[in-house]
Amino acid sequence: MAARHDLRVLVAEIEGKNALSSLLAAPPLTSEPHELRPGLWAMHVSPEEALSEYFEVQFHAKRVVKPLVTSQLVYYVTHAAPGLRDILMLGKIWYQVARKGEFDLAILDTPAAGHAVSMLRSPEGFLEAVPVGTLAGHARRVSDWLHDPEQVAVHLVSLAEETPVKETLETTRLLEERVHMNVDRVHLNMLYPPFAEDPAVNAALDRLKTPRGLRPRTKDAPPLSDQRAQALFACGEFYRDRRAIQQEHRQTLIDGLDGTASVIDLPFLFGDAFAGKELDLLADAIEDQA
Amino acid sequence: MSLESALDGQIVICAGPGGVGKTTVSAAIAMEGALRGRQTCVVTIDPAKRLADALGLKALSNKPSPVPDEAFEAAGLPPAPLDAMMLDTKTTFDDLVHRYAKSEDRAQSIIDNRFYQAISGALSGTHEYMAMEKLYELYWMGNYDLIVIDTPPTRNALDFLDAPKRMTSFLEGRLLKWFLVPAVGGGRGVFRAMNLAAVAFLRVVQKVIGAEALKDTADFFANFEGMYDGFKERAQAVYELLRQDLTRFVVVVSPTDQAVEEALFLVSSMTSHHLHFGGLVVNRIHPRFSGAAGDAVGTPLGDRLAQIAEEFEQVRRREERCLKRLESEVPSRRWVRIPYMNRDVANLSSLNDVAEMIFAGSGHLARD
Repeated sequence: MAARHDLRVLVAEIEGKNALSSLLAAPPLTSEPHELRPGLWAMHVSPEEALSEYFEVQFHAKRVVKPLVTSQLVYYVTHAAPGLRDILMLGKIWYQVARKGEFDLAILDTPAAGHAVSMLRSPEGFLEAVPVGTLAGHARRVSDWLHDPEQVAVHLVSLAEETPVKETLETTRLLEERVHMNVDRVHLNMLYPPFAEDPAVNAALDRLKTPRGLRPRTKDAPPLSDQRAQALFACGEFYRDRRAIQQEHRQTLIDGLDGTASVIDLPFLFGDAFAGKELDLLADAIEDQA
Repeated sequence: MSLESALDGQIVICAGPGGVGKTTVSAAIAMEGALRGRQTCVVTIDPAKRLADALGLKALSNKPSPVPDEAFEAAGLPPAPLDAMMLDTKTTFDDLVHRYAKSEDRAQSIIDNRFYQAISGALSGTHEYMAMEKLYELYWMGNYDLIVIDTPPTRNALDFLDAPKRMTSFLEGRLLKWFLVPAVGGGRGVFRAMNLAAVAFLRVVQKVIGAEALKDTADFFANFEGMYDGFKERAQAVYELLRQDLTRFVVVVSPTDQAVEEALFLVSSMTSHHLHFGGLVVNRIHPRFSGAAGDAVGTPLGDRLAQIAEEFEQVRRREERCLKRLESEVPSRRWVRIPYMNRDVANLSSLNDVAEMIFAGSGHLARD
């Protein structure tokens, strides 16, 4: 959506599955930003690449280290210090966005919620463990950047189902308590829209108790077979029940957030594929509500 | 179409992409086993609160506890020998360290080590490794006729299969030990002079991550010395347990393109590893409302329903395409289909409904 407003936007996927590029039928992402659509750039961030780049930039180390030794050592090293992998990845994004200033907006597609918390906490965690040193200086800069609300905002994406809502609330709490970051927005995806725009039609669905209730009252209406009435009734019942469950979980989310973050409803897309067009539909929905 | 053959085994492992309802399916399979009179345990990873409540799982204890008889009675079912537990990765790993450490002191210094704390909680593969470890432990306790285990959503298809081996070779840390062991002795030379380039690299590493972190790592590997053989043997035994005749793998999937591709990859990896595939559960299929779409009905409600039915038709086409793709690789007699339900699984009665769908046409019906 942001790319529509002539902003230069970077989407960074972390240890991802190339979901975005396959959605837009583009080649897999690399550690160099690549333009997918006008204004919309994407890259992939992995800790191993970030580490070797970091060494390259900081110490011109590449030429002294044999690749074979590095590949195994890097594996241990990235696990050796608390959260080092995560800092490296955040650092890479900070470098790309804040330092080089090539983009107006960067969207970081983080791994699952639990990991996202430890990732965003990694600079602070690292500073607690290792307060001095080259990387500590970088960690401090990344941490300051993350905690500047002018620079960085956290948006969560959830579903109106029990477990995702529970996780979203838990993540919101953990981000506040452990990372001192507030969630700005929760995007609630795949919501069944209201049944109809006309409240009278919604009320009619709520009142519908049997397939007989679907029969037109006027004589000049086309006849409705029992079979079709049955099928329409089942369809209405299913829509109503699923929507009710979703609304119940949505309410749990809203109550749990207690006004600290706004909720953006994203519609369930009934189309028979998910590609660029569907992406635009979601962008429309965000634009309307944001 | 039934998952009957899955229940022939002693161990059922439910695998599949995230967000497809694996935990619910695992619980339903376990419930079916228990209702057939088999002493059953289900190991869940992160159940939804209502499901956890339904199973009487109030605390994360890392030990199986019986599902109360009252829960069965409330669902109009006879009490059944079903135990349930939630896996606690960290505690399971700690138990393993206690088991193989040469002394209690050594176990404690490993558990207090920061490097250990980082890998035992967060290292990718740890969850899978510990799930398999728990399975092995329960199996050898010998208390159960049937163990059903839910696997964590994996990034790579067979992480749970490879994880024990990968983790043990990581723990062996042969290469790193070679560099770091002298650091523990506190001698003058921190690094062994082996390869100038590598030493230069480690110096850089030390400068970057700090000597502390490097020392923690070295301490960990020094303390781990001697435990490695125990871990390795155990990993091998777990691997054999997974491949034995009586271990069945059930793949759970939902009808979306991405989930289907992941599941198919999983099924083919299972075949190439000679694992025993116990069937496919296709969960969360939208119901069909055939005949609902079509001409105007002539009332605002009827017309809107006809429109919605048309939208569901599109969903149906999308899902049909996914099912076709599945069918091209896995014959449909090895599947069961479970529709998207219009309520959450919140008690044993709704869990029993799921079990009924999974085992329709087999032993289940005789019970009712």
